[in-house]
Amino acid sequence: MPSQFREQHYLGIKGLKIIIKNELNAFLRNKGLIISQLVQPILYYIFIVLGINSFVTNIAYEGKTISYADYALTGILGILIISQMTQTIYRITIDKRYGLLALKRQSGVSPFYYIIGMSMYPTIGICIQSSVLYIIATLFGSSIGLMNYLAGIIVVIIVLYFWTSIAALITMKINDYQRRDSIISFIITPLGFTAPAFYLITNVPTFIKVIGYFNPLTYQLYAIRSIVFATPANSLLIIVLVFLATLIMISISSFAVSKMSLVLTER
Amino acid sequence: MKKNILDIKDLSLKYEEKFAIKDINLSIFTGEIVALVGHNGAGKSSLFNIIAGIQTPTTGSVEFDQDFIEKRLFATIGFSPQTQVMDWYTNVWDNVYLGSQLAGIDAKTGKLLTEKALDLLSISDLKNKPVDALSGGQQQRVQIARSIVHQPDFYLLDEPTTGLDAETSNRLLSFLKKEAAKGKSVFVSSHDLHLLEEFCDNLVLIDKGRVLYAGDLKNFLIENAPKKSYKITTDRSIDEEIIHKLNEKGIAVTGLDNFQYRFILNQESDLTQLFMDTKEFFRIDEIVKETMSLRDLYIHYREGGL
Repeated sequence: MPSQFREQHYLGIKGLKIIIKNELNAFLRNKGLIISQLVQPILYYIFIVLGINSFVTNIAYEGKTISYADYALTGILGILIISQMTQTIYRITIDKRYGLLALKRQSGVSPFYYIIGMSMYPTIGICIQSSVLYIIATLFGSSIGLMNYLAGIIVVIIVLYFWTSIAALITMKINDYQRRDSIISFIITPLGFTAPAFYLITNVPTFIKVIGYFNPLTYQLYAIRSIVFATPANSLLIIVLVFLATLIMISISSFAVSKMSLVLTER
Repeated sequence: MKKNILDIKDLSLKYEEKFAIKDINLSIFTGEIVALVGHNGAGKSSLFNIIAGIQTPTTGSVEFDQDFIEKRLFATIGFSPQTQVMDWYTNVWDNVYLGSQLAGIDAKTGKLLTEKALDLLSISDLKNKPVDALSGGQQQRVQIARSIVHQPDFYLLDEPTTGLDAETSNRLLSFLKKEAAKGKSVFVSSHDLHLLEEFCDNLVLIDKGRVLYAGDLKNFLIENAPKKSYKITTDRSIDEEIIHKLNEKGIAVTGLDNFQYRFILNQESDLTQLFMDTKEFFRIDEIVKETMSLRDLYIHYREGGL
């Protein structure tokens, strides 16, 4: 039966290459988005980090004294990761609504490669934003070393895939656009701020701590910071856990893609 | 020698309590260009979507010949659905090229085939334009180009001529005819029945989800055309009141041109009777017995004539 074509993943690894290339094209054709992606980290850094840094200069973090600006810079990375979820939602919505997902699946793109490939659009975005952030932080006197930062970006990308997989899952499971937009507004956007992006979780009221401990981003920021600031404690373990969490989330999303009904138009 | 490449057996698709298609049995052979005709909601798109594997039937089966489909699976089919399958973030080139890539074609050949498809649909000059900047007809051309770019063995095109100008429609059907002549198969639906009649060998007529006719198109026209259809030129125009009176006598009248009408007589009437019935209203200057076109016959059928 032709409905079984999709189960044979005819394209193999080539399917991943096709999706990545198409996402790259979609990103590069969207000039407005590129500009906004360039500007966003600059605004965050100047208006939040430098603003707060004027009265909070240094903080004690995991046995090290680091500047607040550097601490908050890694927090911005977390906020940017969360904001990239919306790009995945928009891209997969286009695919789902206009039948491209059906076409790609029928042509033999495996669900796993589909999820990885569709995360390319936000991956390029986060790479650009991370670079801009590093440049501007260095201009304002950041002491983070380039190698540490680059290693941290690898963890950032792992974390990004966790959140883009959740974004894919949301897009697969929710067909109502109003509900989807509500989720973006009321859950995704505040998600970044309930994790210790700009504050130390040890220094905040209990209710914020509790919320923070339920937010995966809290642990992911911990993993990113353990690399960027080269903190001594448990960095390998937390990175392995973050990596496993990402793998599990990609697997869940892939499963959702494999089980979903294909449509050529979504109303 | 023609080979059976697609077998549809006892196919039904049910939405809640209503059948979109019911008990369809159909075969398609290599070298054929088959027209699927039916009014809106007759089940054409449901049938195409099942053949393409997008929808799963409630009962029945769709089987492609294993040698034909080989290992290319979906890439063997060039599927253009009725709805626009398009990536609105990218441009014309990207959309068409994507079709070649999803068919597993290498980049170099894909680029050549993309150029060819753009040229066939006369959209080469639009290749760098974002698809949302195009007109509806231009978007339709992109959609078709994407679906045929990999030059599949089986073309499955759901109303590809909608929104296309006559010249492009003609070029597309000519291309499909040539592809069929190479031993490929084409299954195409359209409301442009003149075009289908000109290019298609076989006809599948579908209504309320059921196949009413499947077979040779010319035979269908011969077998089903009313035996007593005449193109008649009169000395004056015939007003509605007279047409109504003639209808009551079992004579169907359709206006064709100035003073020119199609008269379809029922089995009991003949030309002598026609002259008798009409002489008080108008004079018949010319009378030509005619065979009906697919379009005329289809309209005649829709009006309950078959």
